Amino acid sequence: MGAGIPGTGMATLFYLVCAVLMPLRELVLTLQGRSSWARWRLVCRHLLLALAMGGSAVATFWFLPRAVLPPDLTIGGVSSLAVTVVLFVAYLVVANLVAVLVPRSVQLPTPKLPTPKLPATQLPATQLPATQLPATQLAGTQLLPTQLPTARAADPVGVDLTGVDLTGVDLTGVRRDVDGPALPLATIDLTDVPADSLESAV
Amino acid sequence: MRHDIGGTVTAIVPAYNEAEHIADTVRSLQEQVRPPDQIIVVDDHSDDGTGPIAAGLGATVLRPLSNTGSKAGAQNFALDHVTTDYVMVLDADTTLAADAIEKTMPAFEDERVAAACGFVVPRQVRSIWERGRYVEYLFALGFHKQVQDYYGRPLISSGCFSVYRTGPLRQAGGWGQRTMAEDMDLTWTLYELGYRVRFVPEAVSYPVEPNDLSLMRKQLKRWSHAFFQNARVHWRGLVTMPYLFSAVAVGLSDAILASVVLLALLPVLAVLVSPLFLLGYVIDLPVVAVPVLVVGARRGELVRAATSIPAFFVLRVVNACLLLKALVLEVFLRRPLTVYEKGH
Repeated sequence: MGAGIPGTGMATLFYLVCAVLMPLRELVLTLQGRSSWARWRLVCRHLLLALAMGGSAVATFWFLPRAVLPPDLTIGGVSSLAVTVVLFVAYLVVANLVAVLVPRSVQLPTPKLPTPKLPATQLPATQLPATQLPATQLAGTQLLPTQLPTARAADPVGVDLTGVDLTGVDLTGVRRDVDGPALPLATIDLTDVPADSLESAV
Repeated sequence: MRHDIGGTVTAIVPAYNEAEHIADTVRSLQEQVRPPDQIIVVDDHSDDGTGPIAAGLGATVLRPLSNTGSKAGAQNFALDHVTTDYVMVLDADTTLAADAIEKTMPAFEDERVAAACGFVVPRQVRSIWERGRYVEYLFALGFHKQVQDYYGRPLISSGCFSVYRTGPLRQAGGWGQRTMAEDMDLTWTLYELGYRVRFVPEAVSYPVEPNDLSLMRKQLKRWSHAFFQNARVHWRGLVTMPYLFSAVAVGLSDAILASVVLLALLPVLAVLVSPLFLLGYVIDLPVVAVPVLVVGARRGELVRAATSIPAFFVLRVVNACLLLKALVLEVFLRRPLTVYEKGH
């Protein structure tokens, strides 16, 4: 998904500033005929969110010194909040200066050719409609409901692997359902699958 | 209102030992309002019966002759078999809201859009790690990513659920294996090729998140290393895109400065000056709480969001540790992470 520490430091400040600038950008787009009510609704929503977040930050910095922190929380006589804002602006300026100074020639990664067709083992799909397969069954063994959070144990229709050698398959946590009813099972046809390609599978 | 975007869709589900989750994942694809035309599960040499389970549910199961070594490898393997206009990827432990694909496809009305991703909410929110991740998603996807999308530059088209146009995806060379985060690599490559990426918050996916520290550490380690790897691989391309460059720059600053503050500065000040400096660990609680509670309330999960907020601050400290370690290893010691370690 991503990396970083949301909620701290410059990133949140950056997005707050971006959200506050949204209406200005949208105004320009409106004048150019490239906006819509839906876009304005989005802009207003994020602006309100940003203002609420900014307001909560200001309230925190107002409240804390009065309630718990020593009143002289300053750096060189300047408010620490002001120092943070100045550092943030300076950082963005320097970062974008770097962007301007670096040569614009983009070195794109060399696109690789599509992956060569590798031989694969393809397990043919069963013909049963999906709606008839609410749960999964392995040849007389049934996955515990706790392993399939949304599986409906009451109507277990599944996969019959009768005749398939399951030697080597790790069935840890799977138990044989000795009391289960006889089930109309879908079948995986492994007839045409080369035996050697299945060696490590089953 | 249903938007019908012409074109066919193949869903690729890379899977390694996902017997516990693969059935739910395949079923959630089959039960979509706009189901994919083909479902390919890449059984990357699982030894727990993942392939047969998926095949039994009607999916096409491909099994490479040997383990591909990474999620990107498995996805590329399947890409060669794709003949549809669009490709979607879905993690094997992720399910979709029934309308997720339907909600995502209108993003492709703009022909310049090559990829679109959706909102992510952990399927289970029980352990402290899942709760921390839940808050992180509500905060980052409910505010940061929507702002990024407004400016046309979502930072990542998330690897757990994204839809791509097949042509641009192939033009980009598929999913790169040079970094540990194929989704970030591909997103930035698409930008460099001149395409657009969209974030569709209405399309919701539900991955299973790490529920203990060991799994969470593996996942965060991979993400942290991948962030620095991608910044290094793409920095020349990034500087041509001012907004994305600024977003990455402030992200890097947080990764470094905030980590130093959380792990070194605050403890030292708390010991040497005043214990009150420990408040620094939660000083941004109000700023975090506002979007989390707003988004949580909109989802009807206000109580869950409110009670999960403390876990976010725990997860953040762990994240800071791994980010600093990744920084040292990747940037200073030049010891990049090269082994893809599954951590959900």
